[in-house]
Amino acid sequence: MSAVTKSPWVLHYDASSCNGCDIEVLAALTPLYDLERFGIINTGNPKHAEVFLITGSVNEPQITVLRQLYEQMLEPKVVVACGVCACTGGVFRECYNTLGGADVAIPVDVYAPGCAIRPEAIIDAVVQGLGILEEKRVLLAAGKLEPAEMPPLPSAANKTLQGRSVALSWKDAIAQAQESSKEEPSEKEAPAQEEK
Amino acid sequence: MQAPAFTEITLDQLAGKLSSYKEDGWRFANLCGTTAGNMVEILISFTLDEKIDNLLLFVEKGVKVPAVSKIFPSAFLYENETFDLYGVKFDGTILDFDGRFYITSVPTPMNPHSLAAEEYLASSSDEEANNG
Amino acid sequence: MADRTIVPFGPHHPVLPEPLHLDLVIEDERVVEAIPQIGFVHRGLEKLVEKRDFKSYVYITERICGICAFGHSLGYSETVEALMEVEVPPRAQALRVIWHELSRTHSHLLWLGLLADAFGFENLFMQCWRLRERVLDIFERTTGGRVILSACNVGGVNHDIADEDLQGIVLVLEGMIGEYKTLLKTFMKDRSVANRLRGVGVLTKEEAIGFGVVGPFARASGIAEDIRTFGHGGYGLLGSFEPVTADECDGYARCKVRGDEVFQSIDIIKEIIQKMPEGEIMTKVKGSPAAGARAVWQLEQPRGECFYYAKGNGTKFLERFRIRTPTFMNLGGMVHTLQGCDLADVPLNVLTIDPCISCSER
Repeated sequence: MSAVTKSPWVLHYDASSCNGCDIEVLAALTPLYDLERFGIINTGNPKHAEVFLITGSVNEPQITVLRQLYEQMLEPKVVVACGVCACTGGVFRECYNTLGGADVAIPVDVYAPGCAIRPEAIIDAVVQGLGILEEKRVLLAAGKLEPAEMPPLPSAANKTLQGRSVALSWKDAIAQAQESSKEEPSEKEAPAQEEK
Repeated sequence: MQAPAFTEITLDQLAGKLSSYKEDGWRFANLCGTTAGNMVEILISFTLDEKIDNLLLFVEKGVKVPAVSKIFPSAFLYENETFDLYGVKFDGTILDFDGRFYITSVPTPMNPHSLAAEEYLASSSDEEANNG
Repeated sequence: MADRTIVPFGPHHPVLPEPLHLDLVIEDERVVEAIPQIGFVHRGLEKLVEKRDFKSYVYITERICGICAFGHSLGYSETVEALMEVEVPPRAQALRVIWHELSRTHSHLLWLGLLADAFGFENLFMQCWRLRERVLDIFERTTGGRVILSACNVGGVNHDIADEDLQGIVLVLEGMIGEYKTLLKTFMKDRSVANRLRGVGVLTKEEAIGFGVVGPFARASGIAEDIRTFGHGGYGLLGSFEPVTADECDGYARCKVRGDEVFQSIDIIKEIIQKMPEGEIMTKVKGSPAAGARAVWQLEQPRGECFYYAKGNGTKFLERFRIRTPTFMNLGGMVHTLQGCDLADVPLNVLTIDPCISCSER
């Protein structure tokens, strides 16, 4: 165990979260669950933090932000995805603007599900992350730590996949509207001709 | 409690109605769109004490609506949102984000019949044809 | 003329609980213009009405915002009940009011803590959240969840609260009052807090009416408007209800209004528990919303008036469900208060509207 693992500083960022998991992360730092007695401080500066807590799913503008924050953190670092939205996209997985969990943007080390995640689960996840952090620290000291592979940026193909599902629903809606207009041709065509 | 009123109006009646609501001291409450067949139904709601008045405006593809935010300034956010999600342009909105308000992955996701949606479908079907 | 610089604020900032981007045009530490850019939390959940039938959609509305979770599920349930003309049993209405007022208490305590953190008074932040844990314990005992309750549904509520639990709630809340008074005294009387709050973010009554702002943001500028005065649902059981207002129109007034609303909520809960009706807690809802049916509903959430619109199309999926949240209404007023303020007061101005960006962007 080293100073880094005995008193890790935490960076908390809310991606497209509903705030439920965020207030539980803050509740884990306040009296009752009190992570501060373990030396864990919530810092706002990525250069001071070892553990990156992400809550919430990821949409397109967030990818740049998450990558910037991740790249500013110094090695060794651990990413903990708190809450099921950060793991997989959660309840909003099928929404048109949600690309998925945090692992769409940056490599994630610990996945902690829950909706909203309980502070006990956050503590458990952070402790597991500390185990991974210690392994990384040892590798770094030996000069053998390789930077984790970043997931690919949503390519045009990926975006079209997202758009395709919405576009398919549009095609259904247009087809349905055309069918219903074929059923009553006389009423609908007359006003349309007048407007033209 | 008085039941909320839903009144359908046309585009030219809009300006008159807005000024009369402003003069009588009604508060602007909501502006939202709904896809109704080929058109977009715009709902504008006003409240005064316990009364809620709702105006329904049916807008066709490509038609511009005179901006509500000139009379009720806080409506600019709603106008930008309706343009982003439904493709309905408000003419003269006081702070115009021009489509960059919600940076959606897909243009006008809530309205399949808007001009932007048709362009998107045309371009993505071209891509599918090219990719085979 | 001094040079102008543009300082980007957000989306990540230690004082901001949520991602929000502001481009601040400053001239020598004074903000001349603030251009907001939101869109970081937009998930697009209003389109999910096409995939989740109206009874399951309540679980999505709960997760629009974790702080006002019960409020949104309550607003959704009441709107669909108005759409389908369902009568909710009186006991369910009273239980809904109890959970909603507890939600308001926890939300205001949360806000007071974040405000203290924003001007650096971290100990006060910790004390506010420590007190808030007691309200979360009540939630956990009555519904099983601390933040997302899943207690409200179309037709009534999912859980009942036993009589001894109701008495227990009263005891816990009365036990909180003494400590809460000490906390509030620090906010209201401490000189360093007053230096940060007085005169910050002034929005006069005329400007507030012009921007149409809602909630405690409006009540702190002297506008006495509160949806709870209309007596919808369980609020009809209350004997009398007067909204809490203040006249100073600045950050101090908003702090005072929210602080006093906690006392008011505790009184409301005690009154409702005394008048608690007996009976069922859920009406079975059969059928689907009629085609072409429309309903609008207003609800006083902790942040202000929330406006809901539902439209049915004859199937079990709603045609449209619109949530117009109070923060969406207050953003215009917030951008106005930012003009002319000091750079150091920007986080405070943003926090005094009690922003819930995830609510606004859905």
